[in-house]
Amino acid sequence: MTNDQQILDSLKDPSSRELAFRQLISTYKERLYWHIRKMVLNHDDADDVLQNTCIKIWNGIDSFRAESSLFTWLYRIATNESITFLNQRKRRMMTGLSDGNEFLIQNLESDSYFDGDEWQMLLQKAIATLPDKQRIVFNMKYFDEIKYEEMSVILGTSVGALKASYHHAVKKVEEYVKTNETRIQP
Amino acid sequence: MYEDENIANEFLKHKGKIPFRTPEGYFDSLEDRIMDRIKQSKKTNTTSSRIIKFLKPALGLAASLLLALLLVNSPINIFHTKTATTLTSTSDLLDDYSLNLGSLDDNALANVIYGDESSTTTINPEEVLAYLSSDLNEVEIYSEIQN
Repeated sequence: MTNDQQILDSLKDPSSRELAFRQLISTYKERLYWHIRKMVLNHDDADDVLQNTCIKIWNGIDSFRAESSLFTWLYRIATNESITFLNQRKRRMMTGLSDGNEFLIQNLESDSYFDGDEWQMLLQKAIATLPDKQRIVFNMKYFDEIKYEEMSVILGTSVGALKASYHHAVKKVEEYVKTNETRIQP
Repeated sequence: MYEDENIANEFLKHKGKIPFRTPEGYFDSLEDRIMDRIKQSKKTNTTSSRIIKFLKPALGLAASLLLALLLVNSPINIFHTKTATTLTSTSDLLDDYSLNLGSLDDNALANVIYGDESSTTTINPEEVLAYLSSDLNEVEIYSEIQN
């Protein structure tokens, strides 16, 4: 019996439910956190979204049908929560001059937990300019090295569409780096 | 300056490296904080559902009473309005019929019709006699009146 199956069985029993849920969080918290963090960029926002994700998981655990793996289900909830958060933030920040993603770059620049060099900052800014879907695909492929097949199950998109998304994302990121490279000293 | 080759190299060099960190010990207490939030949200839900549970019968009763009042009141209102209209028109007619036409003389009748007493003047019978005995045509009468 896999660890996931043990957790799921314990979650069904009210007497062991809380303990099993703690175990679930303990197992997946870091992977979920980094998935969310790469989407929202700022630590405080990532913490908020992660907590909301966990509440959604707790409330929806009875509806999990084991058609996909537990992690795929968790990843999907985290992705949806991140997108919901970003859309809410975009709506709040959107002005006539803003394209909706500027707040992500502001988030990035104001985050005291950014730990990269100038190239990585430039790369993150380039990623921040991508549309949400392309950003998710780029992050999952470039940073998490998730296979397209698994990504397809998580995002509910065909492998071909994901490959095309990643290809477009890479082109846009390269273009952004070329245009903005003068800001950093190589 | 980054050439295409440099960009590709940089891409490869940083692949899989996440340039972020978390506050120290962030993951250590995460489970506790999440469980606290879940319990808090449950408590909020329970409180609001308890209030709803408490108010439900009262609200139901109030809604039923309001509905009953509306159902009873509406036909009464409609009937009352119709009756009032009928009574008003009937009394108007009675008022009209209360004018005893038989007791009116010509002048009073003219006053009722024209509504202005000052417009009717009393005609002197001597003037009528003078008018009848004079053999004036219309133009002469008019010039007499003007003078």
